[in-house]
Amino acid sequence: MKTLVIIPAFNESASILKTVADIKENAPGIDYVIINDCSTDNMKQICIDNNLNTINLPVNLGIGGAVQTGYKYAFEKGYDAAIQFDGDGQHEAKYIKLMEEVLEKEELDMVIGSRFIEHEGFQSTIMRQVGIKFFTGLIKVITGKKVTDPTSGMRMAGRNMIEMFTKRYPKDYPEPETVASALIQKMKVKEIPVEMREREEGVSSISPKKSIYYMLKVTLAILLVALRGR
Amino acid sequence: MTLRLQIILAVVLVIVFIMLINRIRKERLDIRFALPWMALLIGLFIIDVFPGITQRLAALMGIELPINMLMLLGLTFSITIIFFLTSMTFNESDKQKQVIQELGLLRKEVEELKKREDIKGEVKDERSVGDE
Repeated sequence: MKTLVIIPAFNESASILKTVADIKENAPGIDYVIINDCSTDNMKQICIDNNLNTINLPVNLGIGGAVQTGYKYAFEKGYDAAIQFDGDGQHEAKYIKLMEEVLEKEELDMVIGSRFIEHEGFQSTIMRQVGIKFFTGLIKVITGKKVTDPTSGMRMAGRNMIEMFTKRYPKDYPEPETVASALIQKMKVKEIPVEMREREEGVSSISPKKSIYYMLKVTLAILLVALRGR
Repeated sequence: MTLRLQIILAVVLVIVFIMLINRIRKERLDIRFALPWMALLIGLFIIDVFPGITQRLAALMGIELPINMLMLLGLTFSITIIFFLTSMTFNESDKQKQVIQELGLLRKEVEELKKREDIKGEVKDERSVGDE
């Protein structure tokens, strides 16, 4: 089984080496690719100097477009699984091997690392938990399946799901929407308990002002998934 | 409407029409997108020549003042065009995204090929110069 770790990076020259080292140490033998989303700092040079496997986008595409580039790369290079890994210190590389094992053994299309199965580690704020519960309910109504952590960014996609992502991937906030889409197409999705840390660097992409947009956009997107049937 | 105003408007419309044609001629505007604007100009021209039309149309639509009807029609026209522009922008940005991604992937492929060539060149000790 060949697995690829996709690291989308925009101006993360401060943390990128740490992220790659974390993967090399805690997920040995697993390939990675950095998608440098046209950073304005010295990302590109750092990647060259340290001989990191990097795709440099000529124009800034935003997170969705950058991650999709990674999935396209994974698909072209024949990877069986791909996982998005953010460089902000929230996710731990030690789970990659575990998720890979579950994906392979149970022949799944997607494995999600959920914070809300064992309720350990950083649990996010109350407001966010309410939002997440709402999406859990919405997805349950539409697909009949329960996903405890539909907003989790720690997700590993199998070959089918990678192919699906190469064709269509939301521009922003893709998590709940793509899980709903996978479930409505009867793909096999499973959650495993993980712990996440509070982010070390940077701020969440979801500021209070953006949270209204987030809720509306994602709700609408999930409803559209139901309409489309995919 | 006075004859003077009618003539001024007609002249303005003709000038705009010529500008539009000129743009198409220089291939700075696609005929497909120019058609609605042409239709608008021709429509305005007809109204300018036969102002009675607006009065009758307004009466037909149950609008008291012709000017109000013109405002309504103008607004409808503008909103329609803006809507299509929005959806076009999305289409274009999606295509652009695909091209950018493909470019990134290709560039990586090329760089890897180059690197492999360099290694080969060093081994054979002669090739790399000719391949620059």
